[in-house]
Amino acid sequence: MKQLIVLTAILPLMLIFIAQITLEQKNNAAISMLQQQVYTAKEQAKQEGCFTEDIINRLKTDISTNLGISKSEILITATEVPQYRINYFDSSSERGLIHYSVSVPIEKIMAGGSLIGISAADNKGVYTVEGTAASEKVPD
Amino acid sequence: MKVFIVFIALLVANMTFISYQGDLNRYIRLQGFLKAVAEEAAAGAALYYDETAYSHGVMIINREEGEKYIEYLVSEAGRKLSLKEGESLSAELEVFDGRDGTAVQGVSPWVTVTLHLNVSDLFRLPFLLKEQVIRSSKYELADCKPGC
Repeated sequence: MKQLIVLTAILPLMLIFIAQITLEQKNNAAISMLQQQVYTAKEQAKQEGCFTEDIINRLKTDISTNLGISKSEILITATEVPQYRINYFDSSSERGLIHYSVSVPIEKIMAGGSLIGISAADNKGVYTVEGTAASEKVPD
Repeated sequence: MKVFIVFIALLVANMTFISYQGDLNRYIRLQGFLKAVAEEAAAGAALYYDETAYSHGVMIINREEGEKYIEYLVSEAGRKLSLKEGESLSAELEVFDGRDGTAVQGVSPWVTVTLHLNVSDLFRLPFLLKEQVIRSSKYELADCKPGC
């Protein structure tokens, strides 16, 4: 009987570890996928000179489909005014460069959060992929 | 007591695995990030060229402007990585262009950027040590064959 009581106490703790391992894999796969999608969109933006509406919409659709989150939850801040290829580096980093930042929410960071006293609001996070690329577009 | 020892053993094994998994995933993400920075640095540096030499049919990469661009990308990447004191991210630029005889050798000009990241141990487990990450990227101007 004593051992059964101990097992009852320990089992949920041990199960949290297993759930956490799975959750970690899931979150990491989502982040890796997000990185790939953003870098693909960046390559397209370099050709177009900026993140066009079409590129942003396609990126949102791809992320939404693959991560299973709503498009409205994806936050994209990027250069949307065409930048053209220039033959020098602009130190103000305004001309010829495309800046981008894509953020998605991570629904759950810790498995069994409520069991160990982490509220649902604290158990969330945001992952951001950001960077800069030089535009390859030449003026028409 | 026996049950307690088994519990502690299971706890340590689980903690070790979770710690390893988290650190490994972070390491893989870091590799992906540095790969993207290296690719962008090489592709961006290859955009700047000597216009006078180009008008004479020789492609010469403007190293000075390329280095400025790489320096900017590296400093931005360092900021995103939140490097601590003693940690560093540096880049090495290698250029092979008209000055090196691409036309004579019949090869395309290329730019290679190698990033060296030195950090404190990426793994929290005492028996794993990873303090340096190196990523390299080569950008070749394939449409700029000799005579271009």
